[in-house]
Amino acid sequence: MARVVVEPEGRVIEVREPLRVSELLASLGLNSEEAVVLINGTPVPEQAVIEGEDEVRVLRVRSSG
Amino acid sequence: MARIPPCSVCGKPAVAYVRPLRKFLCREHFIEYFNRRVARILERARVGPGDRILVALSGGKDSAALLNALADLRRSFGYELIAVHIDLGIRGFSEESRRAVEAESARLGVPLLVVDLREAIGVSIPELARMSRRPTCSVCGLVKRYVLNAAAVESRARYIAMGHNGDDIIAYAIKSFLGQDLESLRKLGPYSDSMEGLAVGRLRPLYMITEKESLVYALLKRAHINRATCPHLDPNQLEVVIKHLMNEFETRRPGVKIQLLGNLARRYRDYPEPREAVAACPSCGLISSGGECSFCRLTRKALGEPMGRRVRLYIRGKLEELGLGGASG
Ligand SMILES: [Zn+2]
Ligand SMILES: [Zn+2]
Repeated sequence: MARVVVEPEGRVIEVREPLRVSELLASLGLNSEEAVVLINGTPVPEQAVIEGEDEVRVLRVRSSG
Repeated sequence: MARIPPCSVCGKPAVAYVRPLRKFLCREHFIEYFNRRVARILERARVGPGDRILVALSGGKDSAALLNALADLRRSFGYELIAVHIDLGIRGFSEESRRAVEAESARLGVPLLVVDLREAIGVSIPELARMSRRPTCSVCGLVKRYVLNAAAVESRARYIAMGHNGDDIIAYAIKSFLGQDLESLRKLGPYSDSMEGLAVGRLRPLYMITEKESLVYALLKRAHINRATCPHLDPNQLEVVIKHLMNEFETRRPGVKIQLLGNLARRYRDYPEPREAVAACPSCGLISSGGECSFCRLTRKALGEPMGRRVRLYIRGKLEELGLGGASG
């Protein structure tokens, strides 16, 4: 299982890995244009695959105004 | 450890897939791609040595990305940068924005002009909105446009660089199209020209950059940004809804957004020129469409006197403190 923090709420979920980033976003109901996923602190393309022990963060893209 | 696709250029782990290039790019090559897109706009707008560019910083990701890209390209183009931030006085939001902007401009060695509205005109945006009985976002937009233009005129800037990304441009364009406000479409090019002494041209270097790319870039640059959303932003605002619909469209028809932006950048001049007259505001001397400008009218109504001239004097003083003074008029 990998730990995923979903911003801006800071909600923490556990996901079964391996899991493609695009699948993670789809399961969260997020459009891939509207979210950036960081694995161990670095942005990754949606084709990346999450494995065990990864620290994953999902950021929402929308602007602050 | 995660399996990350390799950069199509150098083989290092990719940070993004860039659809227009059909390439995975690593940190270094993504930054290079982003800066190249920005550079292309600067070239189109004929930015060159000796030009002063005023960069509007809100504290958000887009303007932070913009400032970083313009700082990276400073040497090759030979322009001078001045950052400007408007402290709107929105409690619980503006404080963090100002901190982020101060940290980022210091980090990049760019002088920062802060226009604190409460200092300059005595009231914050929410107070001004209440006193003028107008929606906060419309007052905010009007004040920002005025102050940025005043700062650019006072500092004799060639351009005001705005952090609007491609998704912002598309949202404005579709909104204008829905209202058949074709004159506004004409204002949505990558840059616009100045009108001597009245208004300084806009530069939109992030025109061909998506909102997501802008955030990725700001993260890669480890920029200081305020990630909070303005408490006054209405999630049902038309622009917000259009952006989301366009992203759904993009998922089904990849490339549709960048195609629209490319077409608009080529064709925006085909739309009709604004019919409104161009005149100098009798109160402040900056651009108006005849009679007092909208900022002077707004402040006269809400505060009992037109504040344009006062804002200009305030900015002039601040520029002198920064050693950037010397504007005429
Ligand atoms: Zn590379
Ligand atoms: Zn005026």
